[in-house]
Amino acid sequence: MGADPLLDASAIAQWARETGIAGMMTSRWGWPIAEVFHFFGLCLLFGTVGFFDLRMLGVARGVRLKALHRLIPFGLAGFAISVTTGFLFVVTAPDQYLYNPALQTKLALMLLAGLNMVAFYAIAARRTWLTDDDGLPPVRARLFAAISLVCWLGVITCGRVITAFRPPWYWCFWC
Amino acid sequence: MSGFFTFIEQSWLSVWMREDPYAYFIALIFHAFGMALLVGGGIVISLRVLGVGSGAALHRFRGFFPVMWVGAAMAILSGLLLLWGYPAKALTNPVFAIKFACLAGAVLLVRTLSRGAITAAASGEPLPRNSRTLAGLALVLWLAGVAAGKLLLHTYTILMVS
Repeated sequence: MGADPLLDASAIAQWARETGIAGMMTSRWGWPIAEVFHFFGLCLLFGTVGFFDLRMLGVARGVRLKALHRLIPFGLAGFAISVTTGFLFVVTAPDQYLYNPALQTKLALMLLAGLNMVAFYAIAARRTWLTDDDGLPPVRARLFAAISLVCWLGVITCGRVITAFRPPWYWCFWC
Repeated sequence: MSGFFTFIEQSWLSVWMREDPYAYFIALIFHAFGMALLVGGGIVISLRVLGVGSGAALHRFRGFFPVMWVGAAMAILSGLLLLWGYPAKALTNPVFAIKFACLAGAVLLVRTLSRGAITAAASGEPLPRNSRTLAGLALVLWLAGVAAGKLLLHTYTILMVS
């Protein structure tokens, strides 16, 4: 195992213990309740963002995109819940997560989804809102939707296989 | 019941689900995809009936139903495979029954909304008075089903009987 020049897993775990996060998470119901909220957040995120993406790709034509977009704040709230609970998992057991290729890929896909979302609003959103209720948005918007959908399904996949890469798996491309 | 669990656990499919390095994880991934499509659609429809995004024609949300049914099929098939791998783990855990009851209840409520509120919206009639209550209840049941599913891992008492 090479030395990590960026992250100190022991110091992170120590910080989690000192702040009481580790104590809360390792209590009888701490971890399970955090997992439940992590999935609540994911459900809200996929139910709103994922289904908005599906509508942009042509599913449920007749649903006005601009109106469906009003559900997105629920997705953002879900994302915030998932990120918060995910943070609690990582700082409580950093050695289980930091060098886990599934988590690293998951974070990379989340970053890509975020950049994709910014690009959608910057480049394609304005013309998307002009789409007829029964129509399809411009090709560029559909491309952003497809990338978003693939990213979030990838995030779900990576989340499911995190347990397959527990230590002694060690993947540190920055070390 | 023990003999029934033993019979399943010793079948080739059950052994394969437990011992193949990929089978269980692939079933888990498809189960998650299926649940995301099913519950995601359920959440969207509940929120819309509750009044979010009211500029979108409610009856056109029927277009999401095929996605939900594909999700349901994926979740059920993959769920059966996961169950076949460890039948005693799930079937001796009351939380599994709670998960099943919540999701079945949510699906029935979506069906009720489809026949009531969504049909009324399609013909331009006002929504039935209990529509929002049913949508709120469906939302709670979807999330309760997901919560019960997550808690299975933390509440089982028997992994295998054989």
